[in-house]
Amino acid sequence: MQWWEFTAQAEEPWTEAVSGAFHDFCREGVWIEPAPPQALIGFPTPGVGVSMVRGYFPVDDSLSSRLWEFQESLDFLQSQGFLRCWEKRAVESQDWEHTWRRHFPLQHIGQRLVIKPSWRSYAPKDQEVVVELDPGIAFGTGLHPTTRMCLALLEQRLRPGDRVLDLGTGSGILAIAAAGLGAAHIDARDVDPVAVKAARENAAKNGVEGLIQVSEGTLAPHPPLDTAFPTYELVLANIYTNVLTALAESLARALAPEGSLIISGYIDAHQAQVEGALEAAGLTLTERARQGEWHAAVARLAPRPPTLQQ
Amino acid sequence: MAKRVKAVIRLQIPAGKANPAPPVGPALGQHGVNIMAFCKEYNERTSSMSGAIIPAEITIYEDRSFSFITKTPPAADLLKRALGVEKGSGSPRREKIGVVPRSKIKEIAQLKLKDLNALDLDGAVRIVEGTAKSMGIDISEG
Repeated sequence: MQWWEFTAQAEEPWTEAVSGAFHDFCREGVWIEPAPPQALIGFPTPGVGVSMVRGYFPVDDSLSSRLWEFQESLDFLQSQGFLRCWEKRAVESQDWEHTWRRHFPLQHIGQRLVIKPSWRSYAPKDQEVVVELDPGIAFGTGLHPTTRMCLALLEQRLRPGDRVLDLGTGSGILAIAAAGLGAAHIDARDVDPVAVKAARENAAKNGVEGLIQVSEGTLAPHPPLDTAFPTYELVLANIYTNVLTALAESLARALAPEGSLIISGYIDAHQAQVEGALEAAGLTLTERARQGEWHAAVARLAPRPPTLQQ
Repeated sequence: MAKRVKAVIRLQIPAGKANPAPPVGPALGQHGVNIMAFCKEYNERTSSMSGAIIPAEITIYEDRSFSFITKTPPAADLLKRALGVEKGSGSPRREKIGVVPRSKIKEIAQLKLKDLNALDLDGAVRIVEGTAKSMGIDISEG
Protein backbone atom coordinates (compact mmCIF):
# COMPACT_ATOMS: atom_id res chain seq x y z
CA MET A 1 0.00 0.00 0.00
CA GLN A 2 1.22 3.48 -0.82
CA TRP A 3 1.13 6.51 1.46
CA TRP A 4 1.97 10.18 1.22
CA GLU A 5 4.41 11.00 3.98
CA PHE A 6 4.39 14.66 5.02
CA THR A 7 7.34 15.97 7.01
CA ALA A 8 7.43 19.47 8.46
CA GLN A 9 10.38 21.04 10.23
CA ALA A 10 8.74 22.75 13.18
CA GLU A 11 10.55 25.59 14.90
CA GLU A 12 10.74 25.01 18.65
CA PRO A 13 8.61 25.77 20.60
CA TRP A 14 5.94 25.46 17.89
CA THR A 15 5.92 21.68 17.61
CA GLU A 16 2.54 21.64 19.37
CA ALA A 17 1.02 24.09 16.90
CA VAL A 18 2.36 22.19 13.88
CA SER A 19 1.34 18.77 15.20
CA GLY A 20 -2.12 20.24 15.87
CA ALA A 21 -2.53 21.01 12.17
CA PHE A 22 -1.36 17.48 11.28
CA HIS A 23 -3.98 15.97 13.60
CA ASP A 24 -6.75 17.75 11.71
CA PHE A 25 -5.87 15.70 8.64
CA CYS A 26 -3.93 12.63 9.76
CA ARG A 27 -6.45 10.86 11.99
CA GLU A 28 -4.23 7.87 12.78
CA GLY A 29 -1.80 10.14 14.55
CA VAL A 30 1.42 12.06 14.26
CA TRP A 31 5.05 11.08 14.63
CA ILE A 32 7.52 13.57 16.08
CA GLU A 33 11.29 13.38 16.15
CA PRO A 34 12.01 15.95 18.83
CA ALA A 35 14.81 18.46 18.57
CA PRO A 36 17.90 17.36 20.51
CA PRO A 37 17.39 18.18 24.18
CA GLN A 38 18.40 21.74 25.07
CA ALA A 39 18.50 23.64 28.26
CA LEU A 40 14.98 24.89 29.04
CA ILE A 41 14.45 28.10 27.19
CA GLY A 42 12.95 31.44 27.90
CA PHE A 43 10.57 32.71 25.29
CA PRO A 44 10.84 33.19 22.39
CA THR A 45 14.25 31.96 21.31
CA PRO A 46 14.13 31.40 17.57
CA GLY A 47 16.43 28.85 16.03
CA VAL A 48 16.87 26.92 19.27
CA GLY A 49 15.92 23.66 17.63
CA VAL A 50 13.86 22.02 14.95
CA SER A 51 11.55 19.03 15.45
CA MET A 52 10.47 16.81 12.59
CA VAL A 53 6.69 16.33 12.55
CA ARG A 54 5.36 13.54 10.31
CA GLY A 55 1.92 12.42 9.25
CA TYR A 56 0.49 10.09 6.60
CA PHE A 57 -2.28 10.03 4.03
CA PRO A 58 -3.20 6.94 2.03
CA VAL A 59 -2.60 7.56 -1.68
CA ASP A 60 -6.20 7.69 -2.82
CA ASP A 61 -7.77 9.96 -5.42
CA SER A 62 -10.91 10.43 -3.39
CA LEU A 63 -8.85 12.31 -0.80
CA SER A 64 -7.34 14.83 -3.18
CA SER A 65 -9.39 17.79 -1.90
CA ARG A 66 -8.35 17.08 1.70
CA LEU A 67 -4.75 16.72 0.56
CA TRP A 68 -4.99 20.14 -1.04
CA GLU A 69 -6.50 21.63 2.09
CA PHE A 70 -3.73 20.14 4.22
CA GLN A 71 -1.01 21.57 1.97
CA GLU A 72 -2.67 24.97 2.17
CA SER A 73 -2.69 24.77 5.94
CA LEU A 74 1.03 23.88 6.02
CA ASP A 75 1.78 26.82 3.72
CA PHE A 76 -0.05 29.09 6.13
CA LEU A 77 1.94 27.80 9.14
CA GLN A 78 5.14 28.35 7.17
CA SER A 79 4.14 31.92 6.30
CA GLN A 80 3.57 32.62 10.00
CA GLY A 81 6.93 31.21 11.08
CA PHE A 82 5.58 28.13 12.88
CA LEU A 83 7.46 25.82 10.59
CA ARG A 84 10.62 26.19 8.56
CA CYS A 85 9.65 24.04 5.57
CA TRP A 86 7.66 20.96 4.66
CA GLU A 87 7.88 18.19 2.09
CA LYS A 88 5.84 15.29 0.81
CA ARG A 89 7.01 11.95 -0.56
CA ALA A 90 5.42 8.62 -1.49
CA VAL A 91 6.33 5.62 0.70
CA GLU A 92 5.45 1.92 0.54
CA SER A 93 4.16 0.06 3.59
CA GLN A 94 6.58 -2.83 2.89
CA ASP A 95 9.46 -0.51 3.68
CA TRP A 96 8.88 -0.65 7.41
CA GLU A 97 7.31 -4.10 7.58
CA HIS A 98 10.45 -5.63 6.12
CA THR A 99 12.84 -3.70 8.33
CA TRP A 100 11.13 -5.18 11.34
CA ARG A 101 11.03 -8.72 9.98
CA ARG A 102 14.79 -8.83 9.64
CA HIS A 103 14.99 -8.81 13.42
CA PHE A 104 12.46 -11.55 14.14
CA PRO A 105 14.37 -14.32 15.99
CA LEU A 106 13.80 -18.03 16.52
CA GLN A 107 12.49 -18.56 20.06
CA HIS A 108 12.40 -21.44 22.51
CA ILE A 109 9.57 -21.17 25.03
CA GLY A 110 8.75 -23.51 27.92
CA GLN A 111 10.14 -27.06 27.60
CA ARG A 112 9.13 -28.00 24.07
CA LEU A 113 7.84 -25.04 22.09
CA VAL A 114 9.81 -23.38 19.32
CA ILE A 115 8.45 -20.31 17.51
CA LYS A 116 9.99 -20.00 14.07
CA PRO A 117 9.50 -17.26 11.46
CA SER A 118 8.60 -18.83 8.14
CA TRP A 119 11.79 -17.68 6.42
CA ARG A 120 14.17 -19.35 8.87
CA SER A 121 14.97 -23.07 8.87
CA TYR A 122 15.17 -25.21 11.99
CA ALA A 123 15.51 -28.96 12.61
CA PRO A 124 13.39 -29.78 15.68
CA LYS A 125 14.81 -32.04 18.37
CA ASP A 126 12.82 -34.90 19.96
CA GLN A 127 9.50 -33.85 21.45
CA GLU A 128 9.84 -30.25 20.26
CA VAL A 129 6.75 -28.59 18.84
CA VAL A 130 7.52 -26.01 16.16
CA VAL A 131 5.07 -23.20 15.47
CA GLU A 132 5.82 -21.56 12.17
CA LEU A 133 4.63 -17.98 11.92
CA ASP A 134 4.68 -15.31 9.32
CA PRO A 135 4.49 -12.32 11.59
CA GLY A 136 2.25 -9.99 9.70
CA ILE A 137 0.34 -7.29 11.44
CA ALA A 138 -1.83 -9.43 13.73
CA PHE A 139 -1.07 -9.70 17.45
CA GLY A 140 0.97 -12.62 18.69
CA THR A 141 4.57 -13.02 17.54
CA GLY A 142 5.90 -14.80 20.59
CA LEU A 143 8.05 -11.79 21.36
CA HIS A 144 5.63 -10.27 23.82
CA PRO A 145 5.78 -11.25 27.51
CA THR A 146 2.05 -12.07 27.59
CA THR A 147 2.32 -14.44 24.62
CA ARG A 148 5.36 -16.12 26.15
CA MET A 149 3.63 -16.58 29.51
CA CYS A 150 0.51 -17.97 27.82
CA LEU A 151 2.58 -20.41 25.76
CA ALA A 152 4.44 -21.66 28.85
CA LEU A 153 1.20 -22.07 30.84
CA LEU A 154 -0.50 -23.72 27.87
CA GLU A 155 2.30 -26.27 27.62
CA GLN A 156 1.90 -27.12 31.32
CA ARG A 157 -1.88 -27.31 31.33
CA LEU A 158 -2.90 -28.84 28.04
CA ARG A 159 -3.70 -32.55 28.07
CA PRO A 160 -3.87 -34.45 24.79
CA GLY A 161 -7.44 -34.60 23.55
CA ASP A 162 -8.53 -31.32 25.19
CA ARG A 163 -11.04 -29.05 23.49
CA VAL A 164 -9.65 -25.51 23.47
CA LEU A 165 -11.14 -22.03 23.02
CA ASP A 166 -8.67 -19.29 22.03
CA LEU A 167 -10.32 -15.92 22.35
CA GLY A 168 -8.54 -13.02 20.66
CA THR A 169 -6.41 -15.42 18.65
CA GLY A 170 -4.49 -12.75 16.70
CA SER A 171 -1.87 -14.49 14.57
CA GLY A 172 -3.21 -17.84 15.87
CA ILE A 173 0.02 -18.56 17.74
CA LEU A 174 -1.61 -20.04 20.87
CA ALA A 175 -4.12 -22.09 18.88
CA ILE A 176 -1.37 -23.55 16.67
CA ALA A 177 0.77 -24.37 19.71
CA ALA A 178 -2.27 -26.07 21.30
CA ALA A 179 -2.73 -28.15 18.15
CA GLY A 180 0.94 -29.13 18.19
CA LEU A 181 0.70 -30.11 21.86
CA GLY A 182 -2.18 -32.50 21.17
CA ALA A 183 -5.48 -30.63 21.50
CA ALA A 184 -8.36 -32.44 19.79
CA HIS A 185 -10.05 -29.29 18.53
CA ILE A 186 -9.45 -25.55 18.85
CA ASP A 187 -12.08 -22.90 18.44
CA ALA A 188 -10.14 -19.69 17.63
CA ARG A 189 -11.94 -16.36 17.52
CA ASP A 190 -11.01 -12.74 16.94
CA VAL A 191 -13.08 -9.62 16.36
CA ASP A 192 -10.48 -8.29 13.92
CA PRO A 193 -10.88 -9.61 10.34
CA VAL A 194 -7.15 -9.05 9.70
CA ALA A 195 -6.39 -11.42 12.59
CA VAL A 196 -8.88 -14.01 11.34
CA LYS A 197 -7.17 -14.06 7.96
CA ALA A 198 -3.68 -14.23 9.50
CA ALA A 199 -4.71 -17.04 11.89
CA ARG A 200 -6.18 -19.08 9.02
CA GLU A 201 -3.04 -18.64 6.94
CA ASN A 202 -0.77 -19.52 9.83
CA ALA A 203 -2.85 -22.61 10.72
CA ALA A 204 -2.60 -23.82 7.12
CA LYS A 205 1.16 -23.14 7.06
CA ASN A 206 1.51 -25.45 10.07
CA GLY A 207 -0.75 -28.12 8.58
CA VAL A 208 -3.25 -27.90 11.47
CA GLU A 209 -6.13 -26.14 9.71
CA GLY A 210 -8.21 -29.29 10.21
CA LEU A 211 -7.96 -28.94 14.00
CA ILE A 212 -8.47 -25.20 14.28
CA GLN A 213 -11.72 -23.52 13.43
CA VAL A 214 -11.04 -19.80 13.05
CA SER A 215 -14.01 -17.44 13.12
CA GLU A 216 -14.67 -13.73 13.46
CA GLY A 217 -16.33 -12.94 16.78
CA THR A 218 -16.17 -13.17 20.52
CA LEU A 219 -18.31 -14.43 23.41
CA ALA A 220 -21.53 -12.71 24.41
CA PRO A 221 -20.79 -10.74 27.60
CA HIS A 222 -23.76 -11.92 29.69
CA PRO A 223 -25.24 -15.06 28.19
CA PRO A 224 -28.70 -15.95 29.52
CA LEU A 225 -28.44 -18.82 31.98
CA ASP A 226 -30.75 -21.09 30.02
CA THR A 227 -28.76 -21.01 26.78
CA ALA A 228 -26.68 -24.04 25.97
CA PHE A 229 -23.04 -23.02 25.92
CA PRO A 230 -20.28 -25.17 24.45
CA THR A 231 -17.60 -25.85 27.04
CA TYR A 232 -13.86 -26.42 26.78
CA GLU A 233 -11.22 -28.09 28.93
CA LEU A 234 -8.91 -25.16 28.23
CA VAL A 235 -9.82 -21.53 27.55
CA LEU A 236 -7.17 -19.00 26.47
CA ALA A 237 -7.77 -15.26 26.56
CA ASN A 238 -4.78 -12.97 26.03
CA ILE A 239 -6.60 -9.69 25.45
CA TYR A 240 -7.02 -6.39 27.37
CA THR A 241 -8.29 -5.49 30.82
CA ASN A 242 -11.57 -4.05 29.54
CA VAL A 243 -12.40 -7.11 27.47
CA LEU A 244 -11.31 -9.60 30.12
CA THR A 245 -13.42 -7.83 32.74
CA ALA A 246 -16.49 -7.60 30.53
CA LEU A 247 -16.22 -11.25 29.47
CA ALA A 248 -15.33 -12.79 32.86
CA GLU A 249 -18.77 -14.35 33.27
CA SER A 250 -18.78 -15.84 29.76
CA LEU A 251 -15.25 -17.16 30.17
CA ALA A 252 -16.39 -18.98 33.32
CA ARG A 253 -19.43 -20.38 31.49
CA ALA A 254 -17.20 -21.64 28.66
CA LEU A 255 -15.13 -23.80 31.05
CA ALA A 256 -15.78 -27.50 31.46
CA PRO A 257 -16.07 -28.51 35.16
CA GLU A 258 -12.40 -29.50 35.51
CA GLY A 259 -11.17 -27.02 32.91
CA SER A 260 -8.53 -24.28 33.16
CA LEU A 261 -8.71 -20.69 32.03
CA ILE A 262 -5.43 -19.02 31.06
CA ILE A 263 -5.66 -15.24 30.85
CA SER A 264 -3.16 -12.50 30.20
CA GLY A 265 -2.82 -9.04 28.69
CA TYR A 266 -3.12 -6.85 31.78
CA ILE A 267 -0.57 -4.79 33.67
CA ASP A 268 0.18 -4.21 37.37
CA ALA A 269 -2.26 -1.33 37.62
CA HIS A 270 -5.19 -3.49 36.43
CA GLN A 271 -4.39 -6.74 38.22
CA ALA A 272 -6.90 -6.22 41.04
CA GLN A 273 -9.65 -5.26 38.57
CA VAL A 274 -9.16 -8.34 36.39
CA GLU A 275 -8.75 -10.79 39.25
CA GLY A 276 -11.76 -9.26 41.01
CA ALA A 277 -13.93 -9.76 37.92
CA LEU A 278 -12.84 -13.41 37.64
CA GLU A 279 -13.61 -14.10 41.27
CA ALA A 280 -16.99 -12.41 40.97
CA ALA A 281 -17.68 -14.73 38.03
CA GLY A 282 -17.10 -17.76 40.26
CA LEU A 283 -13.50 -18.53 39.33
CA THR A 284 -10.58 -19.29 41.64
CA LEU A 285 -7.06 -18.30 40.70
CA THR A 286 -4.69 -21.25 40.94
CA GLU A 287 -1.53 -19.76 39.50
CA ARG A 288 -0.10 -16.35 38.69
CA ALA A 289 2.75 -15.42 36.37
CA ARG A 290 4.43 -12.11 35.78
CA GLN A 291 7.03 -10.70 33.40
CA GLY A 292 7.93 -7.05 33.83
CA GLU A 293 4.67 -5.21 34.37
CA TRP A 294 2.62 -7.85 32.52
CA HIS A 295 0.52 -10.48 34.26
CA ALA A 296 -0.95 -13.85 33.43
CA ALA A 297 -3.01 -16.24 35.54
CA VAL A 298 -4.65 -19.63 35.55
CA ALA A 299 -8.16 -19.89 36.98
CA ARG A 300 -10.60 -22.75 37.57
CA LEU A 301 -14.22 -22.94 38.48
CA ALA A 302 -14.65 -22.65 42.23
CA PRO A 303 -16.43 -25.69 43.69
CA ARG A 304 -20.05 -24.73 44.23
CA PRO A 305 -21.44 -24.84 47.75
CA PRO A 306 -23.38 -28.12 48.15
CA THR A 307 -26.74 -26.36 48.52
CA LEU A 308 -26.44 -24.93 45.02
CA GLN A 309 -25.61 -28.21 43.38
CA GLN A 310 -28.48 -29.85 41.64
CA MET B 1 24.78 -1.76 32.88
CA ALA B 2 22.39 0.79 31.48
CA LYS B 3 21.31 0.11 27.92
CA ARG B 4 22.45 2.56 25.26
CA VAL B 5 19.75 4.77 23.84
CA LYS B 6 19.47 4.72 20.05
CA ALA B 7 16.64 7.20 19.56
CA VAL B 8 13.79 9.01 21.26
CA ILE B 9 10.57 9.58 19.32
CA ARG B 10 7.11 10.83 20.16
CA LEU B 11 3.89 9.40 18.80
CA GLN B 12 0.67 11.34 19.26
CA ILE B 13 -2.04 8.77 18.67
CA PRO B 14 -5.67 8.25 19.69
CA ALA B 15 -5.85 6.46 23.07
CA GLY B 16 -6.40 2.72 22.79
CA LYS B 17 -6.18 2.75 19.00
CA ALA B 18 -2.52 2.18 18.13
CA ASN B 19 -2.13 -0.05 15.08
CA PRO B 20 0.71 -0.95 12.74
CA ALA B 21 -0.40 1.45 9.99
CA PRO B 22 1.37 4.83 9.76
CA PRO B 23 2.51 6.64 11.76
CA VAL B 24 3.28 3.83 14.25
CA GLY B 25 4.60 1.34 11.65
CA PRO B 26 7.21 3.55 9.96
CA ALA B 27 8.21 5.36 13.17
CA LEU B 28 9.06 2.12 15.01
CA GLY B 29 9.84 -0.10 12.01
CA GLN B 30 12.80 2.03 10.95
CA HIS B 31 14.43 1.25 14.30
CA GLY B 32 13.62 -2.48 14.18
CA VAL B 33 11.25 -2.21 17.15
CA ASN B 34 8.51 -4.82 17.57
CA ILE B 35 5.57 -2.78 16.29
CA MET B 36 2.82 -5.01 17.67
CA ALA B 37 4.38 -5.14 21.12
CA PHE B 38 4.25 -1.36 21.29
CA CYS B 39 0.64 -1.27 20.05
CA LYS B 40 -0.48 -3.81 22.63
CA GLU B 41 1.22 -2.03 25.49
CA TYR B 42 0.04 1.43 24.44
CA ASN B 43 -3.55 0.27 23.98
CA GLU B 44 -3.60 -1.48 27.34
CA ARG B 45 -2.15 1.51 29.18
CA THR B 46 -4.47 4.05 27.53
CA SER B 47 -7.62 1.92 27.33
CA SER B 48 -9.46 4.08 29.86
CA MET B 49 -8.76 7.40 28.08
CA SER B 50 -10.53 6.76 24.79
CA GLY B 51 -11.43 9.84 22.77
CA ALA B 52 -8.25 11.74 23.66
CA ILE B 53 -4.95 11.93 21.81
CA ILE B 54 -2.37 10.55 24.23
CA PRO B 55 1.23 11.15 23.22
CA ALA B 56 3.82 8.47 23.97
CA GLU B 57 7.48 9.34 24.32
CA ILE B 58 9.35 6.23 23.29
CA THR B 59 12.97 5.51 24.11
CA ILE B 60 14.53 2.98 21.75
CA TYR B 61 17.70 1.18 22.84
CA GLU B 62 20.57 -0.23 20.82
CA ASP B 63 19.22 -3.79 21.26
CA ARG B 64 15.87 -2.67 19.69
CA SER B 65 14.02 -2.96 22.99
CA PHE B 66 11.98 0.06 24.00
CA SER B 67 10.24 1.77 26.89
CA PHE B 68 7.75 4.59 26.84
CA ILE B 69 5.92 7.09 28.99
CA THR B 70 2.61 8.75 28.18
CA LYS B 71 2.21 12.53 28.20
CA THR B 72 -0.56 15.09 28.44
CA PRO B 73 -2.74 15.49 25.31
CA PRO B 74 -1.42 18.01 22.71
CA ALA B 75 -2.39 21.65 23.27
CA ALA B 76 -4.34 21.65 19.99
CA ASP B 77 -6.39 18.65 21.14
CA LEU B 78 -7.21 20.35 24.47
CA LEU B 79 -8.18 23.59 22.67
CA LYS B 80 -10.46 21.72 20.27
CA ARG B 81 -12.15 19.97 23.17
CA ALA B 82 -12.53 23.29 25.03
CA LEU B 83 -14.37 24.64 21.97
CA GLY B 84 -16.19 21.41 21.19
CA VAL B 85 -14.96 21.42 17.59
CA GLU B 86 -13.46 18.57 15.61
CA LYS B 87 -10.71 20.38 13.75
CA GLY B 88 -8.82 23.64 13.49
CA SER B 89 -9.29 26.15 10.71
CA GLY B 90 -7.44 25.25 7.51
CA SER B 91 -6.95 28.96 6.81
CA PRO B 92 -6.82 30.69 10.20
CA ARG B 93 -6.50 34.18 8.79
CA ARG B 94 -9.78 34.05 6.85
CA GLU B 95 -11.80 31.70 8.94
CA LYS B 96 -11.99 31.73 12.75
CA ILE B 97 -13.32 28.70 14.53
CA GLY B 98 -14.07 30.25 17.91
CA VAL B 99 -13.05 32.23 20.96
CA VAL B 100 -11.42 30.84 24.09
CA PRO B 101 -11.08 32.90 27.29
CA ARG B 102 -7.57 33.65 28.58
CA SER B 103 -8.37 31.76 31.79
CA LYS B 104 -8.83 28.56 29.75
CA ILE B 105 -5.52 29.15 27.95
CA LYS B 106 -3.85 29.45 31.36
CA GLU B 107 -5.54 26.28 32.58
CA ILE B 108 -4.27 24.33 29.55
CA ALA B 109 -0.78 25.84 29.96
CA GLN B 110 -0.76 24.77 33.62
CA LEU B 111 -1.77 21.23 32.71
CA LYS B 112 0.87 21.01 29.99
CA LEU B 113 3.67 22.88 31.76
CA LYS B 114 5.71 19.78 32.57
CA ASP B 115 5.60 18.53 28.98
CA LEU B 116 6.24 21.80 27.16
CA ASN B 117 9.63 23.20 26.27
CA ALA B 118 9.02 26.23 28.48
CA LEU B 119 10.82 27.75 31.41
CA ASP B 120 7.77 28.80 33.39
CA LEU B 121 4.00 29.19 33.23
CA ASP B 122 4.33 32.43 31.28
CA GLY B 123 6.31 30.67 28.55
CA ALA B 124 3.79 27.80 28.48
CA VAL B 125 0.91 30.29 28.14
CA ARG B 126 2.62 31.85 25.13
CA ILE B 127 3.07 28.46 23.49
CA VAL B 128 -0.63 27.62 23.99
CA GLU B 129 -1.61 31.09 22.70
CA GLY B 130 0.51 30.56 19.60
CA THR B 131 -1.08 27.17 19.02
CA ALA B 132 -4.56 28.74 19.36
CA LYS B 133 -3.60 31.41 16.83
CA SER B 134 -2.33 28.79 14.38
CA MET B 135 -5.72 27.07 14.56
CA GLY B 136 -7.83 30.17 13.99
CA ILE B 137 -8.89 30.58 17.63
CA ASP B 138 -9.24 34.07 19.10
CA ILE B 139 -8.57 34.72 22.77
CA SER B 140 -10.90 36.80 24.93
CA GLU B 141 -9.96 38.48 28.19
CA GLY B 142 -11.39 36.88 31.27
